[in-house]
Amino acid sequence: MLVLLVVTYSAAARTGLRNLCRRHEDPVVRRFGRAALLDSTEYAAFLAVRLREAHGGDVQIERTEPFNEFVALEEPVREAAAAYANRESKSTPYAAFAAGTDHPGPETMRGEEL
Amino acid sequence: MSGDSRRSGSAPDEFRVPRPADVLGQIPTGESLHAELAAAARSRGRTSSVAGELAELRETLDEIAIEPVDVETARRRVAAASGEEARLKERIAALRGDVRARRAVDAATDETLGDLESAAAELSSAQTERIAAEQAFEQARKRATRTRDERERRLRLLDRLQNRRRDARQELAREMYPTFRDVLTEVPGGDEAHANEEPSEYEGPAIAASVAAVAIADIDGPVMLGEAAVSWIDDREGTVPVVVRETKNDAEERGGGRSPAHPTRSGDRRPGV
Repeated sequence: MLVLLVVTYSAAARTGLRNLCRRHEDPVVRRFGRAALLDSTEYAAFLAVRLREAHGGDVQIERTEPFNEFVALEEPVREAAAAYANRESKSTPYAAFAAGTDHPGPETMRGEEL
Repeated sequence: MSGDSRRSGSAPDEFRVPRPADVLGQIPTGESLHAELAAAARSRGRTSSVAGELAELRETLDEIAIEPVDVETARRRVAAASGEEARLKERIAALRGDVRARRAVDAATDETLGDLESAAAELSSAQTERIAAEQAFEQARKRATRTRDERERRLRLLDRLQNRRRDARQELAREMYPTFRDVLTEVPGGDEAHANEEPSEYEGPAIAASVAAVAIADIDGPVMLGEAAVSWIDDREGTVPVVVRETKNDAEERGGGRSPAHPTRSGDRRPGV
C-alpha cells in the first residue's frame, strides 16, 4: 500500500499539520513531530495539497511505498545485513567485517541503485 | 505557485520581544502573568541572562534567506508531457489496428499510414519533451531539497529561540515577583496572600495581577482599560490614578480631550495592537 508522507518545515506549517491530524483521524496512518503519513486516498491527498497551498515550500509531500527486501534486494545483500547484525564483535565497522568475505563491500553497494 | 514568495528568511514578528507598552498598554492584557512581569522587568531596564544568546539567535535567523523554489511548474510539465505521450501511444495503437483491418479487406491504407507516420513523429517529440520535463523536475526537486536543509535549520533555531524566550520570561518574572507581591495589596482586588512564592503559584484574579504588573512597570504612555477592567475597579470602588495614566500628548493625538492621569474607557481590545 502506498502512503503519502507529509513533512513540514516551518512553525506555521507544523501547526497546520497538527491541526489536520487532530481534525481528520481517518486518513492519518501515523503522526511524527512535524511529519505524518496519510493513507493513499484522494481525500488524504486533498488535505495534503491544501496544506501545501497554504504553506508553499514549507510543506513537502512524497508518495512512499512499503519496502520489500525480498523484491528489491539481491540475496547477498540481505545475508550481509543479517550476518552483520548478528556479528560477535560489536565494534567492527562493516567495511572491516566484509573485507575478505563474500559479503559485498560498502562502496560496491553505494554504487548500486535499488 | 503558492505561498513561497511570502516567506522570506527572517523570523516572524511573533518571535520578536514585544515592547513593554504593547504588553502592558491595556488591561486585560491578554497575556500570561509571566509575560506581564517580564515586560515590567524589561521596562525597568532589566535583561535576562540569556539576552546575549537571544540576540545571537535573532541575528542568525535574520541572515537565513530561503530562495523560493518553484517545483509546481515542473510537476505540471511532467504531468502534461506524460499525458501527451500516453495519448499519442493510444492513437498509434488505434491507427495500427485500422491499418490491419483495412488490409484484411484490401481497402486503401495510404491515408491511415500517413496518419500513423505523423503520429509516430509526434510521439517521438512528446517522448523527448517528457524526458526533458522529468529532468527539469529532478533539478527542481534537488533545489527544493537544498532549501529544505535551510528551512529545517531555521525551524530548529526558531524553536530554540522560543524556548530561550520562555526561559528569559520566567527568569525576569521571578526577579520581579517580590516587588509585584508588595504592590499587589494596593491594587483593587489584589491580595498578597494570593501571591505565594513564585509567579506560577499566583492564585489571585488576573485583572488584579495585571494592574499590579502595570504599577511596577516603567512605561510611558496610556494604559487602556477594557470594560472588564473598568467594572472590576468600579465594583471595588478602587482608584487607579498612579497605576494607569494617560499623558496629555497621547490624549490629544487620539483626538480625545481627556485630562491626564485618567483612565481611558475602550473596548476590551485596543484596535491595531
